[in-house]
Amino acid sequence: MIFIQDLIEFDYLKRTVLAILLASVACGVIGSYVVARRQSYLIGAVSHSLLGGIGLARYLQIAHGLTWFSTIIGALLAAVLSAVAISTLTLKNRMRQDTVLSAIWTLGVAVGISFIAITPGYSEDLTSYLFGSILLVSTEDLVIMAIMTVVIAIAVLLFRNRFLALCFNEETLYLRGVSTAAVSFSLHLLVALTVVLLAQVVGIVLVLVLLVIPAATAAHFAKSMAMVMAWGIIFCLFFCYGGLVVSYQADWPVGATIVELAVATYLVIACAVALRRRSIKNHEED
Amino acid sequence: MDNSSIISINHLCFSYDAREILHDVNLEITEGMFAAMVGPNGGGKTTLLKLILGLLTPKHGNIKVFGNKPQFARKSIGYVPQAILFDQNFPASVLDIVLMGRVERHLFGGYRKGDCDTAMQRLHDVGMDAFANSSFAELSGGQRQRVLIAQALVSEPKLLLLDEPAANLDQKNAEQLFELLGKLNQHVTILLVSHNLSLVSKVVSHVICVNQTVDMHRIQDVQGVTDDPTGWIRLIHQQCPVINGKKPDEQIHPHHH
Repeated sequence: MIFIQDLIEFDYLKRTVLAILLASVACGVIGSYVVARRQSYLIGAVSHSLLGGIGLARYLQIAHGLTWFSTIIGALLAAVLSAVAISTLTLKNRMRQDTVLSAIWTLGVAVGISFIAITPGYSEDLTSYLFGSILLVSTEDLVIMAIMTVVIAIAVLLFRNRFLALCFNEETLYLRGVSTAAVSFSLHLLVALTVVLLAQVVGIVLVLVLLVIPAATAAHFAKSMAMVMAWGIIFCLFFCYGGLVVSYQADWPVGATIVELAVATYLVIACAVALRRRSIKNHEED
Repeated sequence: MDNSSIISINHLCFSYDAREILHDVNLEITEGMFAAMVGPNGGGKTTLLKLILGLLTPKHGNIKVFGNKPQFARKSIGYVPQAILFDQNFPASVLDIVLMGRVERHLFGGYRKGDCDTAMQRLHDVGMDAFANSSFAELSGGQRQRVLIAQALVSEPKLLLLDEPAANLDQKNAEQLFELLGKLNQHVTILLVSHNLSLVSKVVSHVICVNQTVDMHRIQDVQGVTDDPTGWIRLIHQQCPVINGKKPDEQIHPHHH
């Protein structure tokens, strides 16, 4: 297979494989909370806001020579700002959540377009940010991705009781005397980090699906949060590596192939589970 | 304050905007009581429960729980809500759900062995220990109610609050539930909201009529009316005022499951 030969030969493919591994761990873990809390709509707003940060980073790099301000740092900045804005503006229903999310979603895109327009001599293809450029991940990007994944893993290990209770029922947590605002904000921050990680793999537009589908697929049969997370990681790895190999062989766009594989698998498993439930029900009725 | 006072309410008034829900409420719940709040829909039962939990603040008068403001008493209260909204595929075992009653105890890391042991004992108390590793989402309504009671108990509360615990249960399950609550009352003070008047009368020590104002009766004082399910309406007619000019018959709809 060409992919295996090239993987041995080229360092950029090795970096790609490592980047997918890191992003998948974050995706499986945080996606499980997003699915259980039914907050997938958060992802769209955070992911599109990344374009503003990426635009800023490109502008500062080219117009002001700040070469250290890489696009992943810009994306990280935008994601954290979005998480802070969403958490504070929607606290105690101060503002309607859908209004806040729509504003952040479009503002991010608008800021990104503006920065790209004023960046001198900008000629880079925007589609690599929108639809992913996993084959272009640098060693510096990989280091930042590794740090983010470790932060996510440690935070979840430490605060897993609170996160689980928050996802189950916010009032239960509140009446035990725990600050639901603080727990919810922490989880929003971790979601933001995960969006940045996954955007490296499939791009801004396709993050929404990839963050949710592995955990949603696992939730069909896994009985505990830890099992949903473990299976979420396995599914995410399968979708990303599968999509990568297929697209590499066939010369298709990587991000799109990953998402198509993910949605197809989800549908097959959802149908299988529904059929099995129906046959069990019929069996009981007999 | 009496040492055994659990809830102490003095001249409490509460209104949403112009509509007064509770007027000049005085209530004293002491240790060991098993009290049921009854009354018409919109009479203020749930509002009173929320005031005791500190989720609402009184407009006038005051409310003390264990001698403190309600929000400082939450950790000593085990609360069982009427209906809990959660994802139908929510990946948590029965034991996971019960342990949430101790979520505030450790800032970092998982639950300790002691927490799990206590959780198993409370599951045993409610007759659900065989289901510890089952999925919570796959349980029946009655089983879920028992698990949520175990969750409230695992926090070692001095007061157990339940909002319509039998609302989604059939007659047999409801009877079993109240029998269980009667047993639990040996160790914990219980205050609940109920529509199922004939069922609660078999186990409670006090009945609280809530209809804008509040009157508490010892169960032995109202025994005559408890034998007759419709007698409860008579009781409310005598003790509770007519609100908004409606006849009581239009307001009072006791449900018999």
